[in-house]
Amino acid sequence: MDLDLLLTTITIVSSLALGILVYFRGNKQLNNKVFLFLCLVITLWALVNYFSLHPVFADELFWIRLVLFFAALLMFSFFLFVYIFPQNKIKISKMKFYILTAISVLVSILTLTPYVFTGLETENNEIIPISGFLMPIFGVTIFIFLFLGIYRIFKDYRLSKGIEKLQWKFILFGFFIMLSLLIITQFILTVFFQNTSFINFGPLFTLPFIISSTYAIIKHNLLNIKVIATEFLTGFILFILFIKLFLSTSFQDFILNIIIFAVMTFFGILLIRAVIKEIKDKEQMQKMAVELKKANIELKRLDRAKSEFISIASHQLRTPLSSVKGYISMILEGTYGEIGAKIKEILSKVYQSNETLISLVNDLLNISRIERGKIEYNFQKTDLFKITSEVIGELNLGAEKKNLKINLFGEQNEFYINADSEKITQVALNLVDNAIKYTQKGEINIKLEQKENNVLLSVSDTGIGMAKEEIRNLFKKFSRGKEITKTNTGGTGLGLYIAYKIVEAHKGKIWAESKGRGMGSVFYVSLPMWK
Amino acid sequence: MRKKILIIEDEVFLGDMYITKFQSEGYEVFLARNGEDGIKTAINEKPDIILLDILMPKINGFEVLKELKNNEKTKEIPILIFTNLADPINMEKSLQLGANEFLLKTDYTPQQLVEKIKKY
Repeated sequence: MDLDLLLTTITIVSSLALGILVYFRGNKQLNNKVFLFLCLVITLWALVNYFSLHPVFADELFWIRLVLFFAALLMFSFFLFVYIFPQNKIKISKMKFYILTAISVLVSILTLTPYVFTGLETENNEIIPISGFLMPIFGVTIFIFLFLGIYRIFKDYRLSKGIEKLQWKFILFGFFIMLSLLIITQFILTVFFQNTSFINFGPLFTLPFIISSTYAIIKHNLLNIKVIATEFLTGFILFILFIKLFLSTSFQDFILNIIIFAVMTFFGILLIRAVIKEIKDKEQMQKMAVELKKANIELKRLDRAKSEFISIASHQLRTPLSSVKGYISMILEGTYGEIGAKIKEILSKVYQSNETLISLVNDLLNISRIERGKIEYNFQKTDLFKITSEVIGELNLGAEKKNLKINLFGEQNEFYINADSEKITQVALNLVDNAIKYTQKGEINIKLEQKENNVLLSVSDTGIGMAKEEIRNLFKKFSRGKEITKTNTGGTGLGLYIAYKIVEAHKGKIWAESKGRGMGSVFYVSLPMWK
Repeated sequence: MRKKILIIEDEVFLGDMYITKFQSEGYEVFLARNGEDGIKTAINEKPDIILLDILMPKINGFEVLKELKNNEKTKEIPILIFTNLADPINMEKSLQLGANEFLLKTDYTPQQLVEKIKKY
């Protein structure tokens, strides 16, 4: 097969294939129809170009004039394409469109007359066309359409965003390659230097534009350079292998080339699919990461809103409680005059209930902070014995009123732990306070000892004790032993839950044991020793 | 001479309660029901101690605290923040702005508050 025929075949097959592919992928959209028309014009132009070099049925001049005819049509169809893509409608007024169509048809017809190419001359065995007086008109018309097309491409490129911008980038890229090659080889060299050596390459030079436009129209995974590179590389290899088919020297060679082409096509498709899947998975992950980030920001906003609400709500709850506390205490102290013993007794109960409510609000606020991780712990070397002694000092009066003895076993400076002393004091207060509340007679023994690498605090009492099922739920919110209704201690049911959370934050353990109801209880807290 | 105490508190019941208590303890009591009045009274009367609430309409306790600590006439007066907004952030902010103490209202009966104030 000679070179001219090979180049022409490649151009025709590629243009037709891409034009048909785009048309059938397009659901009859105008973009795709015009693109097919453009590809058909290129096909015919390639064909007449071949015949201009290897004339059949007519002389060279006839075919050369046809080359110009289809060149004019090509410019018009290129102009049409860029004025329709990607909106699927013409971007100029109907009047302008009709005028430009009329000019294009007129100029195309003129190329078939002797006034654009008057004849041919032979120089150094090469056939050179002689330009007529209307050649400038042809030239100017071509340039006008070209200029309008370029202007449109640039304008749309500048104004577009996202995928559309990328589509225009592709078209621009392919277009400039095509334009540069065509202008140099088909016009400048031919008309001004009478050099027709590259005439036969003309149709081939349209392929960069056709290929890039096909890609832009089908929008095939435009977003990723890896995919594009893989597709173009695979396409290029297949293209070379396809050409090789036509260069086969024998039948066996041809069969071998067909097999290689088929195998490469198969693996090429697999490779492209794998790359596309990888990119899609990555994009999915990125999308999820963005959504996760958004959700996180929203969560933080909600958390802040919740914090503010709880803060304000607890403030609003505390305000009337402060009034009640203040006024009742002042009445009991005699600020408003003497009151009878009975009234005093009742008001004391009111005061106590109010104190329970205040504790409840405090505990709820604490729990809310603990559960949202808003508690800051100030861990330092802490003497647990000292804390326990101070707690006993604070609560001793209450124990003495009930004739309960509190015994402390341990020594100072022997039981150091890594702790937030304020929070651990809260735990110790809760345990000793509970022991006093739930013991009617007897004693409370508080012991500190070292067990392996931990300090073990135990608070045992001779109080109401607990059944096994009560112990199970002891450290949960609002849990209280069944016997407490008989003791009327006014507790909130949250103290042990808070103690549990604090001990947990200190990487310790808290648990309780009891031999049964009426048989006292022992509460244990184990905390890592200070190292 | 009687000691002067300025209470800046918008809540009506609480304000009246503290007036009664501190007057019965022999203090000369000034009550301001909002921040602006509180600042004016502090400048004019120069009390020996100020009890300051945080959550108030128009300007809040922190802004009042800043003003009083920046004013030559009032910067030496001990200020006790007395509030029901009990969280560590507010506590730290108060002390950073120059408050002497941060007290939670529900922790103190009026008598306990009087005992607290005596050391100033």
